[in-house]
Amino acid sequence: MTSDRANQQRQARDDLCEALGARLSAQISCALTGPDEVLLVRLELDQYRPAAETLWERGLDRLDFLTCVDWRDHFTLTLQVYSMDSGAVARLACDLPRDGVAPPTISDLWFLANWEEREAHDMFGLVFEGHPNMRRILLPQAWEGHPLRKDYVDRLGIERPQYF
Amino acid sequence: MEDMDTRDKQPDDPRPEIRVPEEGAEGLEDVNDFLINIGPHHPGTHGVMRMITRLDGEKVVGLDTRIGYMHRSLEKIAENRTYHQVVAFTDRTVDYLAAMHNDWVYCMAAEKLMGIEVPERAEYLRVIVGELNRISSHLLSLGALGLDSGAMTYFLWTMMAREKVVDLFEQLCGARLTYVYMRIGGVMYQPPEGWVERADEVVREVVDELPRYRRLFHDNYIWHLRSKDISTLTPEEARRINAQGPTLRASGINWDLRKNLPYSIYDRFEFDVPVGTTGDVYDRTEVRYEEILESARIVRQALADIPAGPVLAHRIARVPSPPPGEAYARLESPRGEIGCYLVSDGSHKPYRMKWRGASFHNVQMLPEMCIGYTLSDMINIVGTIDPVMGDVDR
Repeated sequence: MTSDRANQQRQARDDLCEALGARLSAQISCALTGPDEVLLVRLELDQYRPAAETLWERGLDRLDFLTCVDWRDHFTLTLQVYSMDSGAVARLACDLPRDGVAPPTISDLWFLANWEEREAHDMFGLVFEGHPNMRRILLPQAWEGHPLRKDYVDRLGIERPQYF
Repeated sequence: MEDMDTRDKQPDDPRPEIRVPEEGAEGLEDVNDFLINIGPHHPGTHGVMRMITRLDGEKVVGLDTRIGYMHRSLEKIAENRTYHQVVAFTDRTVDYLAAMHNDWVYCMAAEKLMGIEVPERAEYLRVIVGELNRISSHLLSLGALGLDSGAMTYFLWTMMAREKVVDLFEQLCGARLTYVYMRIGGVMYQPPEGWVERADEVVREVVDELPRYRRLFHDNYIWHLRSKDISTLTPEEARRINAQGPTLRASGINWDLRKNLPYSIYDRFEFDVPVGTTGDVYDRTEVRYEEILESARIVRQALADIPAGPVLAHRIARVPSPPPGEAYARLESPRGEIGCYLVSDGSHKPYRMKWRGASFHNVQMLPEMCIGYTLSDMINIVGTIDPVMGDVDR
């Protein structure tokens, strides 16, 4: 039973890789990530939306998360989706500069991406192009700065002691 | 009476004249369409959530949910704490009614990052406390739904049953709400003497209570009138909006992470996944009710086979620094799927933590469920998704 499921997932993973390569007609790096063995696809920004559409068409219609990681010199936009039918999981990672680019929205595909993108906007200052309601979601509209950026200083400018 | 009549006729009365428009008159939509603000402080919102509702008569035609009143920036806090310290935040900052599940999912992600094997006994204890927590959370959810719709006795009864489960947790780890029982690599304490027997007893007592609840509330004619065919979600619709947890299963989709993508040791236990048919308010409460029974089944099986041994893995650093990488763990909490995405840069603090909260997404689905039903139904619909504002705002 367990090995059946593992085989099925491996099959689904290979299919996905092939479909993504065909759609983008480019060599893309499909690899399993380190500890949790999820299919990780590294992309350029202009491949992000076509790749997401491919995943959507292949039935990966459940969204795990959409978020952003600040690596100080660039952002990584990360999206993870999975399929209820095959159990296939795919994680898209897309490097982009910290300012001046607007990644395309995917909120018209995954319903839940709407608020996830608003949260990424709120916390990182990303503006998603084509999003129907690109406003802050958790912080007040008049808040200054984007707290989850690594260079964020809070409004009071308090230096907190570093115990560790 | 006479005074009022004369006063109404005074020409300089500042109060606006109330006009009743004729049927089919032009501009009637404008007269009937109005906004009503619910919250942020309102018992019907189960926390601090603001719902700006557009009503046509009594019917909801538009809904705008505003959140963020209780934002405490868990993800930023986690970036400034060591891996072990974060556990104390994951159970009080996010979903505090299912604290065990939140600690569990964080520990699962951290264990994946660090490559830690959890001892067998700890896995059993995790399943036991996780399912007990599901029972207590569902009891509170059902009771609060009863309270929202006017069944106060039901709320008191479920709270009495929940009290027994909470007492068990207190014996186990000293806390009644924020347990911090899960640790990276296992759980913190061995259960005290006699706890396993007591847990078995409590589960039996709670299950014995349930028929009383059915007679009082679930089979009540008034409740049927208030809940049947309210907020129906077809399976396709539920899939489109990524409904999760009891909401998804009430629509007839048999999907439970414990069964379909088993984590921990759930593949060793025998249990069913209750599903509904129409996905209305009634079915969602029924799914929760049945899930209490299934959780009780799992707890009993786990209590019967729990092996002896240590409950915490050996050789876990006090201040661990996992190798660079990323890990994601997800599990089925009482409210749906929760997940934790951890990114390590090789230092002793998480470089980035992303929390996937179940309630955050459930609240987003509210307009899809509420529009077209009356204002009083809307309060019940909010009750069925069981939002915990700590999980929404994080």
